[in-house]
Amino acid sequence: MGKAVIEIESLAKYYGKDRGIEDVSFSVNEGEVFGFIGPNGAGKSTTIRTLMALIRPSSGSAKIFGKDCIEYAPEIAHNIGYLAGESSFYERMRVREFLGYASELYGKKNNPRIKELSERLELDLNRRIENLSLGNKKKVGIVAAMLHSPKLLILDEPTSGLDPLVQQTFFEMLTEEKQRGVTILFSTHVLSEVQKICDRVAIIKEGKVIDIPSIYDLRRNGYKKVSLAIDGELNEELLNFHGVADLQIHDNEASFIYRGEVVELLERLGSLHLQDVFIQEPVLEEILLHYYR
Amino acid sequence: MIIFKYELRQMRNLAVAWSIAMVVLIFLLMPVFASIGRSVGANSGTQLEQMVSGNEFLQAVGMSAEFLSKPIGLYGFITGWFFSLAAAVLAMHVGLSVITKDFTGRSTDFIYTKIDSRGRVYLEKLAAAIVSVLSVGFVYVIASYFALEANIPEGFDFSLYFLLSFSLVLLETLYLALGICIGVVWPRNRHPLLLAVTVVFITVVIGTFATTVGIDWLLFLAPPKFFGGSFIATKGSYESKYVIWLAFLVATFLSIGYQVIRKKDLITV
Repeated sequence: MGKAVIEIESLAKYYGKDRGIEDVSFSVNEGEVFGFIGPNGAGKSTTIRTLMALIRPSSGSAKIFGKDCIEYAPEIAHNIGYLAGESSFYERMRVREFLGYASELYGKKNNPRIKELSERLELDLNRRIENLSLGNKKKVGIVAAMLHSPKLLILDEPTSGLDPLVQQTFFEMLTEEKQRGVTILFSTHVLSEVQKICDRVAIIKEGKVIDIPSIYDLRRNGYKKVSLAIDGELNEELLNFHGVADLQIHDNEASFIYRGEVVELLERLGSLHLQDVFIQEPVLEEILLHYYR
Repeated sequence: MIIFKYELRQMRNLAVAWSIAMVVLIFLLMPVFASIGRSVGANSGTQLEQMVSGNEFLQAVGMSAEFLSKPIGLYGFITGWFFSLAAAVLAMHVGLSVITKDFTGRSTDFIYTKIDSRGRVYLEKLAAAIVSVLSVGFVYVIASYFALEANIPEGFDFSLYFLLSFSLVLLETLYLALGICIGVVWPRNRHPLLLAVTVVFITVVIGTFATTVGIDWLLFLAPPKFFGGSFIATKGSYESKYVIWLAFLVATFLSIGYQVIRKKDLITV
């Protein structure tokens, strides 16, 4: 295991009486892709904006590369690429000018990475930012975050607005960065994204980190959302087996969240007179419900 | 100085537009006011002069009949009560928006997370705003010299002209500093121009009220009254107490802005 690149200890942030985050602790090791997952408003962006020294914590500490992220923010920034969740850029600028500006802010003029990354993401450098779609603006943010080849990428909801093909390219780029030893903190509310690329994941709910499973554990637990209909009448006893949560029954139809071995689930379902069955990945909120059962 | 360069580039069109507008207006207005000045001067002791000398509005704005009977006096009047106020609105607007645009436009996460400290970002933005705003002021100073040359063939007192026109630059500096300070303290303000107009208008009202009622201390809250044309014409200088007060205010506003931005949570709209 590499040394810790990010160390967060009991971080809390309150806005007056309102809760931002209450008890966030985790560390991200060098070369690791670390997912940060939680529903909207859980505190992901607050944690990340504290790491980026945009807001000051009410208590606790956060270090990046072993240095306090507030006190040494400018120094640390040399090696961080940051993509904000909801930021926008100078609308009147053309993409080329904006990315040139971003590069010069890191002391790199005429940076060839701009062309390379833009071509990869099929980003038109000649358009004005105000005329770009949400997805294309996100591409601008991705290029701006990666153009100085940072050692740490902090990405807040990087895929929102990207179409599936560009998402695929983006994940390939992240995989390449990982192979180069870059550490990545990846915030999202889409579970499949962290399963695709992350090594570990911190699950945050209502300002608190409630679990930090490895992606192996997360997969093995195999959260599934199951909807089914049977021929005949359904009752709770038929579906009351280990791993079932949030069970809802209406006449001959039922839905529930299942956490466990898929083979076991199929065996159980096979004993029922199924008319129809639909197994899908649950949304994050449904998994979080399961965490409290 | 990368931020300075890019901020200046973003303000360029605004500064050029205001410069052109002020140059055009001074060349359009100066012939009219020069001719009025000559008329008043040529009709000394007449009804026109009596009307001017007894005018409460002119007294409230700090102008004397003697001063207004000369073309340079009327130049002082339009500089102090038209161009200076317009420049003050521009300066405050630029000061406000150079800070607030990142909060309302959600670009704080871009500009304040790079290798420059917050203090450095602030200073470079301030420098860009100063260059942008004061360039408009100096364009006016230069353009008005040529406008006076063209419209006062009998000549004029250069030092008087310079003091009158340079008061616009001093006022710009003060309102710029005030704008930046308010921008830092209240960064999520979506209407910087409206706020700038309101603040300048309020200071004008305070100044006029203070002069009319005779409350001298209140004039310290009214920058447009700091550089009265009649005083400048009589003494050949600015009132030192207001110059010192202005310098103190500028330093205070900029220091507050610097200290607050370094510690503040940067939360966008």
